[in-house]
Amino acid sequence: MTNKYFSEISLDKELSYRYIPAIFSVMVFLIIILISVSLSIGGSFFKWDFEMKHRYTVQVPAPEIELIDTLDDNGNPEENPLSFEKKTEKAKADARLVLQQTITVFKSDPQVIRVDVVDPKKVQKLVRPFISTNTETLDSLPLPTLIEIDVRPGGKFNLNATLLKLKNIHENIQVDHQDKWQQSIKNFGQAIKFVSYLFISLIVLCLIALMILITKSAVHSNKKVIDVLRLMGARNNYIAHLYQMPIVKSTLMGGFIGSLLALPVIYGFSLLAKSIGLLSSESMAFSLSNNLSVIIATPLIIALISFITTRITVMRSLNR
Amino acid sequence: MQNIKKQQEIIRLDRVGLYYTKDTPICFNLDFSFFAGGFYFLTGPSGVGKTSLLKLIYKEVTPMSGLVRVFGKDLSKLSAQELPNFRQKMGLVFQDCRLLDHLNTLDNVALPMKIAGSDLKKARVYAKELLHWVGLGQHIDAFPSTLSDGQKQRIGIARAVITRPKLLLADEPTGNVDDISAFKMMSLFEELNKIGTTIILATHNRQIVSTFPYPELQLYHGQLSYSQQDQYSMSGQ
Repeated sequence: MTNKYFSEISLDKELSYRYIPAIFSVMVFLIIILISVSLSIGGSFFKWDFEMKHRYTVQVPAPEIELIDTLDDNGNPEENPLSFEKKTEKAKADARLVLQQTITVFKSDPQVIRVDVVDPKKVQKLVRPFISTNTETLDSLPLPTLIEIDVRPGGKFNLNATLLKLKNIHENIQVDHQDKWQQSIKNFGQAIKFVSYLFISLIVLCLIALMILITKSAVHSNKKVIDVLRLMGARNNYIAHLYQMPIVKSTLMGGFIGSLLALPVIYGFSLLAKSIGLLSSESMAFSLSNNLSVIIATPLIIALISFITTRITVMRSLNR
Repeated sequence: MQNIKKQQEIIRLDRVGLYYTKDTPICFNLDFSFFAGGFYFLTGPSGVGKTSLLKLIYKEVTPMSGLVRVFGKDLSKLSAQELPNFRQKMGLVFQDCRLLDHLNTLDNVALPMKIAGSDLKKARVYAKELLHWVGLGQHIDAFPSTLSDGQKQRIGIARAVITRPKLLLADEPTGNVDDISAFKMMSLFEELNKIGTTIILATHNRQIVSTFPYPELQLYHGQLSYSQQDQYSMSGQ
């Protein structure tokens, strides 16, 4: 029975050629996972960095209940409970006023695009692991009210002028920017990205070296056939093409197997990342949709690299 | 017209020198011309260099001195890019057939057409016709390992002629076959020669050389000469 097409060279007996799909599936799997890690971490850090760069957190002091509780107007221990309740109310009203004035300062600034008071429950949640799990204890704590503000990216927000205005409202209002501690985390993210790219480069280099060895071995084992083809007038391009097509088919097959293997792993990562809150779900870290292009493109790029490597190797071998 | 055609030089060896070692020449200051449409037997003792002389013509080896011109082209000036086109104009039959074992008979024969860029379907149609011509129409799906030496050699011949070459170089094509098969092959070569292909056939087979009325060129001591019988007949003309 005659096949529709035939190839002059026989690669099926080449042991190294037969293992191409298996080897390439593992390599492509590793590359996809590394790219996914790198992209997800890089993307999350970028988004987070962008948000943080334009965000300030304002601490408005809590009502000074502790002082009210213990001292009267002359600084002596409080004895009159009625006066104490009044003073408590007054302190709370003062604190509300300070908060309101602080909010007004920011809202009146055209460079400020968002002013949100952080829910006190959320603030309690933040300090709970360090102080107490007891709700009553947390309620009694004089936690400051936090206000998150976002300034216009690229705008001219004048922090010093704002600080002066806030000083006039209350001397203990603080404005925090995340720059100080953010840098070390950014560096860590960059390091992870760098290591990922380094590993990807090493894997690709290994694949190229492997392709060169497999192709050289295949050229060597088909030397007699190549000699006959050349005597019949076959051009080097023609012979190179005979190697390229089966090798590209094998690498594509291996590549797509690797992609399929990577799918559940990336999905597992996305679930894990969301469950431990390591990366925000908004950033779509490790999400399949975000990594779909990587999953599809990686085997194609690897096949293209194999195609070019095979061609160059065959042509160089034939020219010798 | 036929006479003019026969006088056209297809191969010109001009003071060609080729050596196994410094003291053992294959050919030395060899001057010779082969004419288009001719049929030549190339004879000589084993190891004298018949195969090497053919290799000089299809440029698998290059002469150490002198010039080889084939189809009017100086082979020393033939570039690597021109070599495939040059070889596509000639058909080669090897003593060891050199068939591709993993291809069936049909595809082995179709191969030169595929290499020359022809459509595979068309090549297979031609190959089928040729296999019938060489008497192997029943073996188109057979693989070389299942065929006899004579059958393989006929496939080799079919493969060599499928592109209708201007020049056919056959190196001991009858070396491994019995006399009946050898004569069958000779009739194939004759038919091909009748349609204008120049044939140079290296052989040991004295019976064939004496049976067919074509000039015998003897390679001996590095020189190529017509056999005495041919010299008489040529001088008689």
